[in-house]
Amino acid sequence: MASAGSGDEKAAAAAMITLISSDNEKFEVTEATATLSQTIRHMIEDGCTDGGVPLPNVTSKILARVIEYCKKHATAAAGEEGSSSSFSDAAFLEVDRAFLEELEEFDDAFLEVDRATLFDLILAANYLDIKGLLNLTCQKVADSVKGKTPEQIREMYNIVNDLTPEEEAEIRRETQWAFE
Amino acid sequence: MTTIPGRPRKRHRITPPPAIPTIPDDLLVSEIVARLPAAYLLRIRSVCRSWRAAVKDPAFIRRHLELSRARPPAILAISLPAAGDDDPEEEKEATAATPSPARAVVTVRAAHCDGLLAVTASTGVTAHTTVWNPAIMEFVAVPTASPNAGAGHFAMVTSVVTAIGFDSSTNGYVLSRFFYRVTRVFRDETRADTLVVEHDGVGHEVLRLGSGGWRLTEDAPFSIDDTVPPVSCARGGGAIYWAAMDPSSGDAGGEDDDDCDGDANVLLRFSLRDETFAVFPLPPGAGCVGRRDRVAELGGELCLARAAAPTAFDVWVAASAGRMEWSLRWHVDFYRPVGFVAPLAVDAGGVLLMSVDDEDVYRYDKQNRVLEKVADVQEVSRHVRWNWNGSRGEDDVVSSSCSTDAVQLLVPCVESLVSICSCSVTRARRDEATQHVSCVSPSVVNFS
Repeated sequence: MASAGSGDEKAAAAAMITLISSDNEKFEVTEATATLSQTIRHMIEDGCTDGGVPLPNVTSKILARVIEYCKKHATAAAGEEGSSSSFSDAAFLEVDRAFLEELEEFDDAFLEVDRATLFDLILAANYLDIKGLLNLTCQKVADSVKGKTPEQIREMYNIVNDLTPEEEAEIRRETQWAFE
Repeated sequence: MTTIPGRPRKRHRITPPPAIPTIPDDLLVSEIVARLPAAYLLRIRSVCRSWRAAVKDPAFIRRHLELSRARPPAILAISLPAAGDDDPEEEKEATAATPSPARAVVTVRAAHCDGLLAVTASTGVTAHTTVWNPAIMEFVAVPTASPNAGAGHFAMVTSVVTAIGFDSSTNGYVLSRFFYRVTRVFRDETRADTLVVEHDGVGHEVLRLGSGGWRLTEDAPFSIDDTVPPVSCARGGGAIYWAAMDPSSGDAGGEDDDDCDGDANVLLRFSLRDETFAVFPLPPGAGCVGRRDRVAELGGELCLARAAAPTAFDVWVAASAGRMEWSLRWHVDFYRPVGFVAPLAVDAGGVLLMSVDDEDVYRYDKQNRVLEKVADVQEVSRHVRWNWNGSRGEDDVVSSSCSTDAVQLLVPCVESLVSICSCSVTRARRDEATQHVSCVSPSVVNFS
């Protein structure tokens, strides 16, 4: 229902949203930055962001990093909007490749964090529904899993092996070729 | 090290170790495990019960596929043994569907969908199709004979390629092929060794993976040109596009006639949900699908790469803005004669990846006007033969002659966990699977 006139867009870009972390720290961000989060976008659409958006699941430390990510990617979002994998949008073709490379470098640097922070970022990205950030952080974790043995994975993630030896043997038999 | 004096050591051990940061199970499985390569994932499903269950869960398999598709494009290079490679002794088995003696394989063709391949070895009369999932090395032979040939016909001649598509209404894969109801075969008196085949209809049949054998659908309205590889597209619930010859619009192309060396002048869209055919027009100005033209699928959309000049190609995409309409997306000029261009994938920046003459992979960056060769197919293909059950054979099984005669196949690399064996098409006869198509290990070419 929201109109897409350019006048409205300018007004939206100028509008500021206050995000409140679990430890009660306030962050002022532009609406364009905040709406990278689908969760916040829906709140704005429902008109319930006056007085700030409390985020009881996100600490100030993590929220600051999330906002850093969103600020950087908000500028790119305009061109990418609605075309995650399809390319039907003509504007999509005009995405500046130099800027894409810059974003990639930013992302690489962004991921230089310890495991605990990385996991917290995943939880925040999931809660705030920020697709790009979730993809980025989860891919990083997946890459660190790749090549590990089942035993190593169990250790990494505190997983209890609840398979019987017979079941394990069966799995091994079924995927013989993959064990070479 | 810092034990508190006076406390027994044992007590100290009991204190929990610093909490290992963890991710909730559901998030771990749907967001992280789903990003692991298919073959590796099968191997490590022994981590625990919930991982083992996930690998078989259709929703997880779908999610894994989506994530695989969203990654930067990679191309799978596969070389199949060239036609006629088979041991002639293996060819002795007579095929029940045809009264003519079994003949040697003359063509090997493939179609693909979501990382699954349907590889068809045709003798010119019968076609032996194997469905193959290269990511997890499963293959299954599809029944060759059709129950749908019908009485009163001399024979049926099956299409040289079997198409494969995904029907989103049933969440299943569908094979599509056609056949001619042949009434008469005779030798052309004026030209020696030329057989003329007369038919009175083009039958079409589908096989839904996991539910029985070939089933007849409505007839194709026109003769189909199976030298143009059929393509499957997800758009609109899933469809397969065949190139066909509409006799009524034969001369309509008028001014374009000189460029038209192909027989097909329309595309037929076979809807997998409704199992019906509809005519799909060619892009404006295109009178036919010529020998240098290729139909393809790009990011779920139908695509046609048309030869515009001996060195240049127009790449059209049928995007749906309300209704499907062709738009010219790329014009690529190689400044050297090129046979054909087969679009393979498009990356996040709108860069087109394409196979050129089945020999090279090129990328075209429209915005920066950069056209460059990124891979040589002969260099990237490894010739390794795999046995029917997925176990690995000797690396040297494929002779060197094969590298020159082999059918090179380039497809977008999408990793699928779909188990075609558990779909249990039919109890595929073991010899049937090995006899006609020996699948060769693919190599993945990355472009990042």
